[in-house]
Amino acid sequence: MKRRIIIMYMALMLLTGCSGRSAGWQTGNVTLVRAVGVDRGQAGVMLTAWGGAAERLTAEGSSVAEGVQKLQAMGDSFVHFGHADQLLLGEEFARDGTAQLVDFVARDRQIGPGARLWVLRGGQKTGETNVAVRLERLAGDRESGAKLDCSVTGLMSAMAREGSVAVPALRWEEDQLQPAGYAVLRQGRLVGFLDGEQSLGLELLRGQSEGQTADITLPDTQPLILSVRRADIQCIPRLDAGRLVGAAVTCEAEFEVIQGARLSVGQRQEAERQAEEALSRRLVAALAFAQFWDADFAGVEQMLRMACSPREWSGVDWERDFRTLSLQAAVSAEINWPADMAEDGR
Amino acid sequence: MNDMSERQRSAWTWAASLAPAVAVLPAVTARAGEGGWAAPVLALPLIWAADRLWEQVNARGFCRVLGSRGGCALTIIYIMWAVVLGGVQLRAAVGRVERAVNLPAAPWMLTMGVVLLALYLARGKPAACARWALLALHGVLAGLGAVALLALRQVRGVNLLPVWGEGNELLGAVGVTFAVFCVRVYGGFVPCGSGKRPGTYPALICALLSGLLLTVQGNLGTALAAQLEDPLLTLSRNVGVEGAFQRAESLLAALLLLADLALLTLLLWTARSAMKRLWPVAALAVFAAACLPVSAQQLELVRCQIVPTGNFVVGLVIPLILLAVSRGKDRKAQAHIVPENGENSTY
Repeated sequence: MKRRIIIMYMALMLLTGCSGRSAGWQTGNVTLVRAVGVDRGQAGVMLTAWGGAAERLTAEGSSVAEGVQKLQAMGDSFVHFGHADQLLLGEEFARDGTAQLVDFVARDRQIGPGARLWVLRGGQKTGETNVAVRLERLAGDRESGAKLDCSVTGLMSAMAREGSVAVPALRWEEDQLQPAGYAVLRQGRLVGFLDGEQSLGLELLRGQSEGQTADITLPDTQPLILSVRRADIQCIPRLDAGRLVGAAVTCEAEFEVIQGARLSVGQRQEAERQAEEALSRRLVAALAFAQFWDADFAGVEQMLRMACSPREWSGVDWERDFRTLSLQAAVSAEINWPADMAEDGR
Repeated sequence: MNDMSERQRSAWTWAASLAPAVAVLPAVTARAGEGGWAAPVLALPLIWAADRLWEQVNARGFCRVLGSRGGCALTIIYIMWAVVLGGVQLRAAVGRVERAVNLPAAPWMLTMGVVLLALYLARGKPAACARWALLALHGVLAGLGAVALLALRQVRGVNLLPVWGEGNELLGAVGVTFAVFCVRVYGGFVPCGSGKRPGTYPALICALLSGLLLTVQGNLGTALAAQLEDPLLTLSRNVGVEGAFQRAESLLAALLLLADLALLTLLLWTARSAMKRLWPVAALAVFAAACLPVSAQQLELVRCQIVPTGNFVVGLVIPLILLAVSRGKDRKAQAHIVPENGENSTY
């Protein structure tokens, strides 16, 4: 028994784990990459790695893997990608290069597939060093930034089912990265961007519309600003002889007032009508672009699958039918009027 | 202390069956559609029925039912299949570790290390093996449960609905799930003392597996999970606790080696009970099988199609035939049945 214990302890001495690493691998000598930028470069792919506030490395290669290897060989410290949780894709690269990136991340042991994706509109700005910090700030800010997010896993999942996905987009404005709608990737390729009403419509359809505002203009009174508290989306299929020919996208929304004066009954009714119209415009805009690009980034297929019976769905060829489906939006809005805005008798 | 109890044997066989289950089921059940995650729970009645069947068919009674030559031939078939199972699972396990971490040495060294460890464990008394396997089972279940819990908050409902899918595909997934668990038939080769077989293990483990598969599908989606080589490993790369740890794939890969070890020790014990002093040859055969130069696609084909079919045969078809033959013989020779003297024959 004693001999066995001694042998076991001796075997433990061999399990040092770090013996294969060189003497320079110490925490003070490691660059922890927090964000990685990928764009087209002269050699093929240009990669930029951002660490803390002042760390930035750039390398070019014929592929993402080669670029990462060159980055790891740069500088005086060891470059470690294990903490990279933000990936910033250049617009040009997103048009046809995401499959390469997704494949690399799926196999790489350092960059995790949970890394968050962004698409940068326009070109990369050289010299900026605080990108990682800014991206982390934007990722955590759902109120003023993008309400939807997309990870590499989400993109892989969309590509596996040959579907589409919306990735938050950014743009350089006054030397700072600012939210700029969403980039739509169809089967991993960038087909366009959603701005303004379309991006708000996307957030409505995906159930992330809380906090969206609607500006209501009424005569003889100051502007009324409403905020969405809740919006329930449903997709009701329309069938013709057992065949899916269209769908009604209904939205039941609840608003709260964030700015406004006292209103009469008639004015309140007009406000509700305008609020419904505002949400309806957003839904129609998002759905129109989805059909134009043949990219179901809003998940209409999923909603219709849930609403149809298995028998009704069995006859649907979504790839063929989506573009020609008649999609209509119908919104009903309810505004929670605060007590001080009610005006009796007028 | 030296007699293995029924509970310990049951824990050992369940720990052993977790190894192929977590390797094969995430991708196979994803191919069955959004409802595929329920396959382990749906396979419960089949598992209970198989347990009853194995109780009635004594693995040591091959010779009694088929005669000495037939019994020996059948035993050889089971041993050979055990070598195939061991080799395939060991190859998959080493591949999983390679994908999770940068192995500083050649894969065959890890393969050899695992085989030597299994050899060391299987050379002792079965009760000691089973006690270790009980701890391994609890460790693996705790690890899988933790991964499932951490991944639960990232589950997207759209990846799981609608639950109804193609009926035939879900039936197929249930069949493969049952076939994976048929590896537990090898528990009958290990001598066991008295005791009641715990009834909670099947339900608990199937429920946990279903929960795990639900989180895999909910995170990755069925299309992606069906395409990936190891969806569970990809999922574990996404889970973590902010500020504590980010990814769990290397921990999970290490923990799952316990289940692989439980399977190897069970299979080697099978060889030991049948081959007596020659049983280390089986360990060598498992090592050789694990080091065969096969491609990843060939290994995938063997793991997901050939192995479940073979398990089905050794775990269901052959026992059913043996039971039918045994009952037929019993009816013919009712007056001449000699009771067995003290042999333990229940699973």
